[in-house]
Amino acid sequence: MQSIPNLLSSHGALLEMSGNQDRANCILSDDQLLMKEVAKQCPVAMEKLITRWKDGLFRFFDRSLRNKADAEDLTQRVFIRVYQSASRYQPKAKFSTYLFTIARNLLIDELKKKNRQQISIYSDELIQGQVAQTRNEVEEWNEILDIAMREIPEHYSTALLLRVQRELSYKEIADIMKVSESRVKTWIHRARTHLKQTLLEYRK
Amino acid sequence: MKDKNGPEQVIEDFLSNESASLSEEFTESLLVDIKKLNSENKSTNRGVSYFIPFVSFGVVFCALFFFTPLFDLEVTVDEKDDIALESNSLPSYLHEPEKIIIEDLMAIPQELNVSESFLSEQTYDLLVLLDS
Repeated sequence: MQSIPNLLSSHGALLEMSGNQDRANCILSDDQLLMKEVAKQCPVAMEKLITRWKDGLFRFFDRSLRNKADAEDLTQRVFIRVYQSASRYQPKAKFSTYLFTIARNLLIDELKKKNRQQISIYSDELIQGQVAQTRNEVEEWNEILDIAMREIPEHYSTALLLRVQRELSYKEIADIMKVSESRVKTWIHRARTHLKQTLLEYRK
Repeated sequence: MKDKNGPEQVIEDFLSNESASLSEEFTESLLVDIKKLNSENKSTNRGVSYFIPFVSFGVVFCALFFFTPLFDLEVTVDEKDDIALESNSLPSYLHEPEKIIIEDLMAIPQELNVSESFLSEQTYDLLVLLDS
């Protein structure tokens, strides 16, 4: 982990945003303490949070939206929302729960905006046609899984991605999605089964 | 050990999406955006504080405007009392029913808020004659 002096010295441009006193006041330990510093408008703390979580959020949005530009835009919006609500932040749960609750809300809004069409059944021809353009085996499988992800509802894919990417517990996922743990387990199981079946069918 | 090409492992690798990442420029541009947002908020707050004296003055003005009709009401009550006093000083040669009619007639302009009133004694006499 980077020490505070190293972090401060490695970001000269950023430090122009704050005075020396602000630097001394920044206590960088875990995410919740960082949020307290963000509430005091400490830019170093905000940068630390962004560096820590940007890739995780981006991967989540990338797999959910299958569009890198949209994923980047949503990642940015999550951090802006985090910054705006930092003063009201109450460290009741894990920071990841808080962060991915915001992320999921934004994702739902985005999907509504795009008026995503849930495609129930993809024909073999369509799959074959899309996959034919890909080069190697792994790319082919990823393409198949990408298509399979489009077939499942948002809550299935979100639960599965939070489980696999963030390794969150069922309880944490249930808190984020505001449903029971058993429902989360069911969704994850169904999502996995669907992806597996789609992949096996393609391999035959 | 899981098969590298087994469906479970392929799915895990796909979902993990480990290869996807954002560049350092993302962080820098985002911090610039946040800085802009911060300065915009500050200027908005400054704008709000600039308007506070005007808003306070407006509130006081509205409060005064709201309470003004109450004073008018009090004046109206006083005027009514004056009319009542006037009605008591009606000519003594009039009978009680006639006095009541005159009092009622005197009250009409007050209720309709009409400035005209039957003030002259000859008018009272005329009305009494008409009524009889």
